[in-house]
Amino acid sequence: MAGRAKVYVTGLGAVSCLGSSVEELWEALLCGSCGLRPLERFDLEGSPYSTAGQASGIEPVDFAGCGVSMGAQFAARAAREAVRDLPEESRDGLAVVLATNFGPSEALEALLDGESVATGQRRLRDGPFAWDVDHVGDEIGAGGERLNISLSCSSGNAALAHALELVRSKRADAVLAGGYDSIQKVVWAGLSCLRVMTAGKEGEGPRVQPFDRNRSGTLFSEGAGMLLLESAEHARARGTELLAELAGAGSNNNAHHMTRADEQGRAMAEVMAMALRDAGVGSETVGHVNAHGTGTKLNDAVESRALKKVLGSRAAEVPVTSLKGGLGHAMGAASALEAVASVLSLREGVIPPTVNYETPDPECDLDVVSGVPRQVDLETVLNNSAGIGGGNAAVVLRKVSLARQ
Amino acid sequence: MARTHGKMRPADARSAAGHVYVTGAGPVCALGLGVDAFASGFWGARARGQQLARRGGRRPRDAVRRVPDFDLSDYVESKRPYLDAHSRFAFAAVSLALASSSPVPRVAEPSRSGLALGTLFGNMASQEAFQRLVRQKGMRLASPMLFPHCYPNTTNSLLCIEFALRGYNQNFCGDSLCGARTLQAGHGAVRAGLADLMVVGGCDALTEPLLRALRQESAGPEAPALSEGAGFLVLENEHSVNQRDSTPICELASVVSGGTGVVGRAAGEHDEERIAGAVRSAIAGALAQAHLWEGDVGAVFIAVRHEGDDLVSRAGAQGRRGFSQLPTFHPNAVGRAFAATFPLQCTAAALLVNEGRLPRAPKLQRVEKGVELWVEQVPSSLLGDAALVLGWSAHSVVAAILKAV
Repeated sequence: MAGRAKVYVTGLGAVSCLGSSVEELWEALLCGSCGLRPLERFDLEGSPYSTAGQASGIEPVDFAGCGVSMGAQFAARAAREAVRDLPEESRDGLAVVLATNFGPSEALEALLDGESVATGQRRLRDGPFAWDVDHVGDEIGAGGERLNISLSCSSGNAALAHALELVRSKRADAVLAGGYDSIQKVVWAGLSCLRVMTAGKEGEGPRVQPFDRNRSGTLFSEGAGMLLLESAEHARARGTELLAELAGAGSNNNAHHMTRADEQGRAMAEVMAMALRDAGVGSETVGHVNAHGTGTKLNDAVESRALKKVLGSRAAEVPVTSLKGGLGHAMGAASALEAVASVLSLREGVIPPTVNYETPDPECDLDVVSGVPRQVDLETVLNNSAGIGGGNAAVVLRKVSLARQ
Repeated sequence: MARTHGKMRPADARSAAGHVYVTGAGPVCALGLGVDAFASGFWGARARGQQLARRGGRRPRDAVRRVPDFDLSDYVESKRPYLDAHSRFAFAAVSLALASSSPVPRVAEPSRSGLALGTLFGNMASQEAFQRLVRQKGMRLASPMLFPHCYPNTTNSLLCIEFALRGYNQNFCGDSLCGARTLQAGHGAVRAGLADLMVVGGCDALTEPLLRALRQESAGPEAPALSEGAGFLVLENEHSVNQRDSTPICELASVVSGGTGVVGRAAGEHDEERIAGAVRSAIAGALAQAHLWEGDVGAVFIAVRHEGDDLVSRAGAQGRRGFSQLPTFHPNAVGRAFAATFPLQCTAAALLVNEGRLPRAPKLQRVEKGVELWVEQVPSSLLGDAALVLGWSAHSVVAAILKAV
């Protein structure tokens, strides 16, 4: 929109089951690799599911041993990567906006078990979620304001939405924003009973098959995705490379049902339209959609309906991908990792394939990128996400050459 | 509740373009439920607190102030027997806020009506119940009904469903400023045109494990009693005010946040000055955004920690020294209600600027020593028509200004 400050992505960080750096993640996504394996972190007795995406390339320490949640350790690792080129002297005003589903779940488990959870300087009255953001903020020497958001699986995009507003309104020149989560036992028990995971077919292991006719559910994973956002002035002053423009964002709620998607996809369509409106661009500019694409029967169909509402007659032409086939559903980290991939798609003009997409589904009659990466010259990417409770969040990313015009 | 200002005429509405009005308030706390009980308790508690202080009295260290028992069916029509205390408080508070905002206690356009909620601890009672179930019965018998109520955004989603809040949505769950963030998000969303109406506020409920853990931590002798509750406000733009026939209580003129520059634990004189500087800067920013000057502020409401002589408290007092001669309201009346504290203090501030005078004018002595400067005489009328609400931590500051319409 005219006159509004532009906000740029200038750094990326990633921890996932596909590796603990952006480079590893991107290479694996382009290769169509899958990071979902038997879960080994804890005893799975009683759970009908046993496949998940544990973060690789990082050895997290138990909460009891260090007083830092595993998720916060992932977030800190990704954060360090995202800000590695940001000089120390530029971090005084660096704000941190983190988002998560379950964040400090180990601390909450310990608390409810009656164990002492106050760790060093961090006291319970300051809020357990604040421990995570304080850990990350301290690790990267961020002196700006710090806050946490939790909007279930749309958390990552919701964090980007809030961070965008922080920079636009000049409350911060630079913000580290992203999402994170880790798989812990009680959380796993909860995810298991939601009945959204796939157990796989007879004789073969479970697979996530977004938008595929034979899709049968999702599989969860963990990690962190972080993006460093800067105002144009701040980025220009330090002469850093602009990776993409974060042009717009939206966040809303279905106001429909706690666990069941609104079959019409009304609010999901509205949130994508909100993000495009916020970016000041029309849907005709969208060259690629990085979809939520969980691989569950209903959600993929609903997302397809929502995309058709937003993209209109172009819905069947716009390349769509879901990373969850290989990356799994990284919960609070999911849409942040997908935003990282969206930035790389814009820069490199290539869209990673939707792993395990084999049979088109008439209910999901989109142009799903499959098999091999697709080369496309992209100007605008729409990154969509949704979560339990009906939360939706979307962001619009644009190529820098266009954004500068 | 006195309403000294009538409905906006069309001419007023046009001239007030871009303004954000507080049209409803729903306090639920130890003082009672609803604006009348809250106002009576707030000013009464203040007077009682002063009498106690004059006698050199101190509250018992383990004092806990609970929300009085209530029947949720008095506030919402739908049957919700499964809600935990956290959600019950929020449901009652949002219902009260919407009912007090307009003769038609529902939103006009769901997609233009949103919610921002803050919580430090989320739905702890549901988490505890779920965790106990998993420990006792194993993963296989974990409850699919209970787990969706354990997310930090559960209450947010339930409120959206109950009150048709399908528009802009955020859910903050960091430190005790997360209630303040909701005002900032709501104010920003309305001003940016993302929403016409925003319900904003915070909520936290005390559970026994939480209380046990909190009591283990030392608190200063001047710290407010541990408390719980919910505080929600309805924010509307002029379009919504006219559409819903709402009556503005006051204007939310600005909400400004910032970082303190402190990394790690605030530990020394240098950090004290950093925090004080951030408080001064946030106040200056809030005044500038509201197009006001210091003399327009008639009262100050402190919304977070006050623990006597610790560094962070001292720094905050230094930062607001320019207002030390004004009536200053610490959160003693509402207690340490975590995410609800800031919205509840804003509720009191809104009522105060709406009245234009102090409901009671007790003759104060200097009741506290040290850094908290109190005036010896409180005027019966406010010297300015705006109130400053201020919260800060070691890392972040939020300042809000409410002014008479």
